Amino acid sequence: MKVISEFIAPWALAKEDIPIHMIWKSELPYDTIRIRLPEKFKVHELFNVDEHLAKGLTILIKRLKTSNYFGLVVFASETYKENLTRKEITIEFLSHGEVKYSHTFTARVIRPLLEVMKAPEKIVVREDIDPRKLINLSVKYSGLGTAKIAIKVGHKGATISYTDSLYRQILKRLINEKIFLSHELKEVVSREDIEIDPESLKKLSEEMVERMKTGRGILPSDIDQETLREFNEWIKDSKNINKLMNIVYSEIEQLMIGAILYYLDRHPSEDIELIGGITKTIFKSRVKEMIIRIHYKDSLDNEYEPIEIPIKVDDQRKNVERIFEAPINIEWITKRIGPGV
Amino acid sequence: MNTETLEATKTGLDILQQLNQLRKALSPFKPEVKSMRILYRERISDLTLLLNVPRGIARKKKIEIPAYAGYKIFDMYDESLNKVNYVGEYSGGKWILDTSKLPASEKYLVIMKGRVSEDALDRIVKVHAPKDPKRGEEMDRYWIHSGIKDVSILEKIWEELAIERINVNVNVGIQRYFATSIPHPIKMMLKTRGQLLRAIDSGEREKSRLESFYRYWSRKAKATTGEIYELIRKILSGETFSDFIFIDPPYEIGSIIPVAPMLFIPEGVGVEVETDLNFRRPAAEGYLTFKKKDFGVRVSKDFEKFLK
Repeated sequence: MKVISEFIAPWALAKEDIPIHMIWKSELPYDTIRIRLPEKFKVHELFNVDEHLAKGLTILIKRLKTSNYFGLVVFASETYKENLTRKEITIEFLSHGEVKYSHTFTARVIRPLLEVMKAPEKIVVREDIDPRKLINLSVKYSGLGTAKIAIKVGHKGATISYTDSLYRQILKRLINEKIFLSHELKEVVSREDIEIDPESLKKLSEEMVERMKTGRGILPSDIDQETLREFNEWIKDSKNINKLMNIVYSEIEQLMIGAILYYLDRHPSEDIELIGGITKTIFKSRVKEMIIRIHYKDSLDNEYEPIEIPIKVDDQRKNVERIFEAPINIEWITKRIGPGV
Repeated sequence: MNTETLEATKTGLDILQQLNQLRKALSPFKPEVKSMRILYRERISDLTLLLNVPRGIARKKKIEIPAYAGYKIFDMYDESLNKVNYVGEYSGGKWILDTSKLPASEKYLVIMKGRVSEDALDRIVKVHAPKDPKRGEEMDRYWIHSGIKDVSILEKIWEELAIERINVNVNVGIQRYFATSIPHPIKMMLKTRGQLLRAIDSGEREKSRLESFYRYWSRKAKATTGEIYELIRKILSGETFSDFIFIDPPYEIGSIIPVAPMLFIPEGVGVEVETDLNFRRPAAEGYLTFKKKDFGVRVSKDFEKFLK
């Protein structure tokens, strides 16, 4: 059989489509094409197939619509533990039960994989210690594909964590400075050096309202219940979209700077995206232990098992009233693997 | 096995069946199909028919062409390939050609155009590109695949079929390369300016200290926020970005559009790639390459003009 083209997508994430095709030239005396799939694999679609029979992981193609070509789209239905998993898909052309031609395709299922290389067992919290240099981790990334990471801090006492995203910055300004309560609209000063397309400004404002309504984008920690209630009412009133647009516009330069810096902060390494930027943890009352949880997903939003790092805390502060805020510093070690193609 | 999806491919290609009926309706004129072309990207299709209209009886008649699937006569030529200015009238779901208004000719080449629904296109072809590229030191690569799903009905009707400009949008991630290529003084200038603006707004006591920081960095990097924003936009526009994108044949680059510029800066750049498929080539694969190192060098160079 003269094969013109045999193709399988060289790599894919779990649940991502893996197209496969075969094009051949000369006639081959076959009555059935048998496809054998590995465990956990599923077929999404068949191309140019008129009649087929599926039995578990075996598919028997009885008739093609037009000769000399067929394709299929498969996917790994679950994620794997390893950063690269090779699985074989066999295609056989049978005539009266005898294999006349066969080809084995290798599907390569990739994933990002994170491992903690270094983490402190214990940290000391004290007024004379620089909080910016307090929590240092070293995390290794290996595999292929972007890891979208959210870092959270759990505790028994009152540490909280947050990410200083742009939304949060805007929210903070809206709420803490009670901009949303002022009855007058801020006058919009048009700026000669910054031109913003009004449509994208509107889109941005609408998106912010949606996020604020659904509670995504964390609210400032020190907000009182009364203000929160007022704010929730304000944000639900559709009339306020224009007001928000004005606020966004009048703060455009700050937002822009924030956007540029946020963008630069968020990608500490090419394969890593920190959702919401760098996580900070606030120590309020005294705690004895904290747990840093690294949650991560791939580009298709497949979630992988989170990493937990328990750290003992020796809180020696004299005054726990003063907020002690420390960023989670991470040194990323990247070990990218090729899919072998 | 996802039987639902498989079922969907079986439910007949209605638009294509209508085309078959169109051919039947024209059978008295012994239509010869010259070609059928589907422009995937534009979702239109054109088909070229050669109608035989013998002198005599046929001349007295009106030729009725049913306007199936919204097809309309786009152009008509006589046997000497002179353009016929009269293309008939549309009435009651039909195109009516008054033969007395046609120039003397036995054969007419009729070019019809119609829209193809997205749904019908989905049943004809499928395109794939991965979410994540294979990342190397100097370049990122994305595989691309397109394949005909079902054209059996078409093949039976038309001898010549081409599905052209099949397009797929590859989202090329640029974040990190962009971020690391912006010179440090520019980042510092922006950072201190942001802090200063915030301090001015809220009357913070640190104002004078921040002012001196900002003055220090703004002497090293002279640019307004607007200028920096404009430059970012320019670099990510198709015009500049296309210098760093390479594609294997049979694919070609279509348009380049920054992906959803949420919060002003796009996360990536959408590169549209196109190819043609036909009976001889029912599937095609290729790679899109983003020369990110060169792109980074270009970004640094463009930003250098702000450095003093």
